[in-house]
Amino acid sequence: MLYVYGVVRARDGADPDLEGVGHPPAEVRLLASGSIAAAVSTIPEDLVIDETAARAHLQVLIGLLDQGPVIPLRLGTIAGDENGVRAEILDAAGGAELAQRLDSLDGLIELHVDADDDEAEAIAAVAAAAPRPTFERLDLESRIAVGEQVASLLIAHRQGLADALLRQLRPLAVRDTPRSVINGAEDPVLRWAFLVRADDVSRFDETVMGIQANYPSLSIRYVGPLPAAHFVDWDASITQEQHTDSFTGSGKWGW
Amino acid sequence: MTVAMHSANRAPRPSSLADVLDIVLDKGIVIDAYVRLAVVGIEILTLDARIVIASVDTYLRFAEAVNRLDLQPQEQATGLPGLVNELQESGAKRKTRGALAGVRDTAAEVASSFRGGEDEEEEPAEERRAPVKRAAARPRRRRSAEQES
Repeated sequence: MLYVYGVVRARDGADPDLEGVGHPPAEVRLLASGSIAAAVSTIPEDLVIDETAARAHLQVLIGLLDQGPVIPLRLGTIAGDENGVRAEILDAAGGAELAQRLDSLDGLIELHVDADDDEAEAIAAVAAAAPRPTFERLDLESRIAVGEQVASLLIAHRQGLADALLRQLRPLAVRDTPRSVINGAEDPVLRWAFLVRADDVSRFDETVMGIQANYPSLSIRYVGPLPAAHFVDWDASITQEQHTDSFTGSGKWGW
Repeated sequence: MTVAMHSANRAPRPSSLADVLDIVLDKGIVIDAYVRLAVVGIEILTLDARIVIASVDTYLRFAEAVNRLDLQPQEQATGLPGLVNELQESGAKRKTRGALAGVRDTAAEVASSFRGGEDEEEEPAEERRAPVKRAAARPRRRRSAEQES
């Protein structure tokens, strides 16, 4: 049986030392057909897809990215044999589209920037604008109302910070997208993915370092280069079909 | 395409499992091929202690935090109503944790379906796939729904 990690361009090749899923880690190889190739490894039938496997899967994708663009396959995708991989991925109708998508991602990598504030500090920062009644005398309902106002001030405060960070980072990215919905009173400042030209990564690095210096109250996490998972666009209609429970019986591509 | 891997503060990979799964599970493409390919079933268990977003106890916690800014010296804070303190404690350490808690099907079970008759394969493959999609989508969707409420 074969575990399938992702699809790359055949000519880009892969590092022979990539370590795949399983214990001990399986050797990863490329299975090519035409211009594209699938990164696969032989796995035992009792392979368990757990956290270690998820991390190994991602590490293989990151390793492949060293050589060129990568389209990640869903964690846990396995095939019976090489013919299965060729028939269902490489030589299937979607194979030509995969080749196009890979070319469109050439020279681009994904970077993640996350920002969190300290809640106590953030509340202190917005407190000047918050109502300051004599707290001890307030009944429960009034206290809730005070907290509600603080919550809306906090959300606005974080939104302002996020806008300021995005104003600096967006000009250096080809595209960008939020990685989670952020609109609650206990949500972080930023969870964002950026699609960046490899040539611009050092400028992006400098900008992130500048942000860290200018916003010492923010805890910034900066991760990459990652495969452009958040920017592999598929036909919206196909994507929608993927989320319905109807089974049409024909092979389809989607998220 | 070679990108400098060594930056003072850029991590080469996400550390949290949630961020790993965001890439390889939520964003990895699914190939719907029912004969020769399968997605091994994975169950994602989210231990989600968040009750309701922006709930009453959140507001009380914020109100308490603002109030504490005014209280000098610190000892006066002990005079606050017990209700606020209790709610604050219950609300203080809420975190959403995701974990790969179990596996619906091992690769062996999928393998046996490869060996099975052609006519039997389509239905079991669909059954296996459906829980994977729902399991993958659940943690984020629920979180989003809460935030929008």
